[in-house]
Amino acid sequence: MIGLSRRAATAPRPGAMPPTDFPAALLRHPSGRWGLALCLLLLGAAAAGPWLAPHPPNLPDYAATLRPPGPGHWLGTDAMGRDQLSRLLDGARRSLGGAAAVTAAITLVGLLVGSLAALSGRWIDAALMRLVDVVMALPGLIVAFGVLGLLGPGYLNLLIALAAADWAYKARIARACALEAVRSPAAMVAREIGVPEWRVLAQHVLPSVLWPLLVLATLGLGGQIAAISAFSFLGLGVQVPHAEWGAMLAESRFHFQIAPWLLLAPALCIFVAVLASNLLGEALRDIATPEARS
Amino acid sequence: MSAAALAVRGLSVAYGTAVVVRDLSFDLQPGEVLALVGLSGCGKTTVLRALLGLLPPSARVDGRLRAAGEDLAPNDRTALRRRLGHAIGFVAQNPFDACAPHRSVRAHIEEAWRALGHRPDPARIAALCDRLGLDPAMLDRFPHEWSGGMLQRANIAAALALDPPVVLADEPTSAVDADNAKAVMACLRDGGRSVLVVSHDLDLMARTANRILLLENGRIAAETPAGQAYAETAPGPIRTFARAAALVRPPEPSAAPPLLECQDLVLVRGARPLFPPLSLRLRPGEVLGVVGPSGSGKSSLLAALAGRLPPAAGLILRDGAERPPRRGEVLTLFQNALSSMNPRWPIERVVAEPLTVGPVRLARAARAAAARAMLARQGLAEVDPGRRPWQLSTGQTQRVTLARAALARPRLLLADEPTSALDPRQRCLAIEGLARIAAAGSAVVLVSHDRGMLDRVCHRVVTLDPCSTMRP
Repeated sequence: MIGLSRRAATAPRPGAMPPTDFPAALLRHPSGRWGLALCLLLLGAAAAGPWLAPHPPNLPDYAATLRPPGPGHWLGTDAMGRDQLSRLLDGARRSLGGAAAVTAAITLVGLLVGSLAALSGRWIDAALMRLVDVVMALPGLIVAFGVLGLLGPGYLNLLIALAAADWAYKARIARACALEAVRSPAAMVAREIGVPEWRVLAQHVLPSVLWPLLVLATLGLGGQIAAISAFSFLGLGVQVPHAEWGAMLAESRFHFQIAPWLLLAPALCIFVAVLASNLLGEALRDIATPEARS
Repeated sequence: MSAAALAVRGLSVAYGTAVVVRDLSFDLQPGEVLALVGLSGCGKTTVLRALLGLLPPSARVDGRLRAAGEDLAPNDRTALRRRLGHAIGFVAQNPFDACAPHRSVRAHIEEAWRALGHRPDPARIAALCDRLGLDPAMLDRFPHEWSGGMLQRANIAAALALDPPVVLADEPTSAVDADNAKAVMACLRDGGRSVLVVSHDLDLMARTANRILLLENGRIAAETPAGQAYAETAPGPIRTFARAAALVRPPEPSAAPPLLECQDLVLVRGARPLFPPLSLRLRPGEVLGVVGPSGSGKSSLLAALAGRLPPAAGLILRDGAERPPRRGEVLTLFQNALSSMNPRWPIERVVAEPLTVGPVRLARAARAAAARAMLARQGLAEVDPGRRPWQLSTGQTQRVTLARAALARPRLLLADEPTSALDPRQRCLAIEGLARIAAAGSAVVLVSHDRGMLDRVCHRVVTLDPCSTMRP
């Protein structure tokens, strides 16, 4: 989840490109269709959560603890009588929003650091890349625990820790893509024609860096959802009484034998979210490198 | 049919429902050089690979083969491959693909013996090196340290190591210049060997082969004795093929003062000079050919003329003054045309890029219209201008970059092997495009290893490495 996944090893090659009809191509791709549908469903549920939720997510009702699914509480209630469906919808914002924020942050930092290293060259490049080497030499999990140890547990701190653990890999990819794009014949021809350097960077270099990073970001989204859930499960992320899918899993395990639905619902949500982002990422990768599809 | 060194009857190759080679029959007589010529994609290479048992399992092969009085099943690939080396030699098209990159070239040649469990014969290797003009000291180096033309000859040495009576060669001369090409062909047929050679160079085949078969869409379209390929009596398809490959020379340049002048230019790689001090002058509209073996500094020379590589010694004068090129003054046509285009842009936008700079701002629609007109002039009118570069064929991408160059109107156009991957028809179209740009007043430097083509197209040809190690 943190660090190199198997899929990341087959990252799109630099200079990957979307075809003419990008939305249509995404819908034509089977993984893309399903991934998009699931993502929209999850994001819609998270966005409309406050209006959809039948009960306040953090309001205990000690007269109705550990109710099985049924009318009034469609997914049952937890040990404090809080409505499970309402908490799932509320938790979706933290699980999905957090993963999106972490992914956006590492993509942006990776893009900036990698491009800066590639374009400035010399000692700035050397210094930044040695820093990247150091971060990549440490297992992501250790870095995240270290940052959390420094900052203390908490949702925002968890997001910072996850971002700190994962940006270096993106910076490396961004640097490699930028280096190749800056020296590519396409950029050289543009310069010879007389295109100003800022436009060469904006039109020929930036897209070659951004597009592979976007594909990697979607593929990594699932890992970030799982990471937030895992740290919350350990009590280092979202704190009581707030809902988050991983934290809900952690609370539910004490009552697993008498109330298994409490465990199944958040587990299923995490599973679907990870699946959706992986499907979407796979589709993006195939579309970005049509000649690599087998 | 028993007298033939290799007899082929009704050979067909199909991938699924796509038939690549249809019902091909021919005899390769002992001591004969038979040439299979045709455009890219006509099935030449597939025929060779079918005869060698080197096609992938997905290919369906039918027909009958007979070699040295022995019947062979064309789809028994294991049996066919067992004949490789001692009964039939094979020279692959790309010598770098044929050699393992982590082993020395000597190991590659010795593999001919080792594959059959024999001991390599150093005397035979030395004799072959001598015959092919290879430096024996180079043998212990790795393929990437060799030039393409030299490695191709090492490849031929490997194919001839066990002195097979029949050799099949796939474009064996594509990486060597015209003089060496004739020597390579002579070496292949040494000692009365039968040679089946695939090529798109009708000119060379007419001079070095005995008989020519023209392949079109996987069928034999025509057959002629090689000496009569250019005669009035040659079959129609062969005359058409020869005409399509004819190259045009641009009009003589004006007497304007030179726009570029090199005086005793020296370029170095590491500390070693790449070529003897070079002096040249270029007038507007002039086409200058630069020929030389791989590694002789052709691409470095272009980089220096483009102002990307500072010379180690000597002067590069532009309009008589030593100054860097102005924006838009120089344009490079890269060997790999595809890599010189933004893969995300439709070709229309790629071609229109030169119109986005300069004092006059054109509306997007006007730029697109100009680009389309230029694409049409390059014979690409039927290609959808909204396509991305990677959706085109190699020849088409080369012509897209020519259309862009025509709109850019550089004063100096540097073309780095622009025709090396093209078949004769596409090459002819690309040269036509270059000639048109020269006729419009640009000076063109055309780099190639194809001396014959340069002689026909250029006003002058500069040889970067005058010493040839090849013997006739």
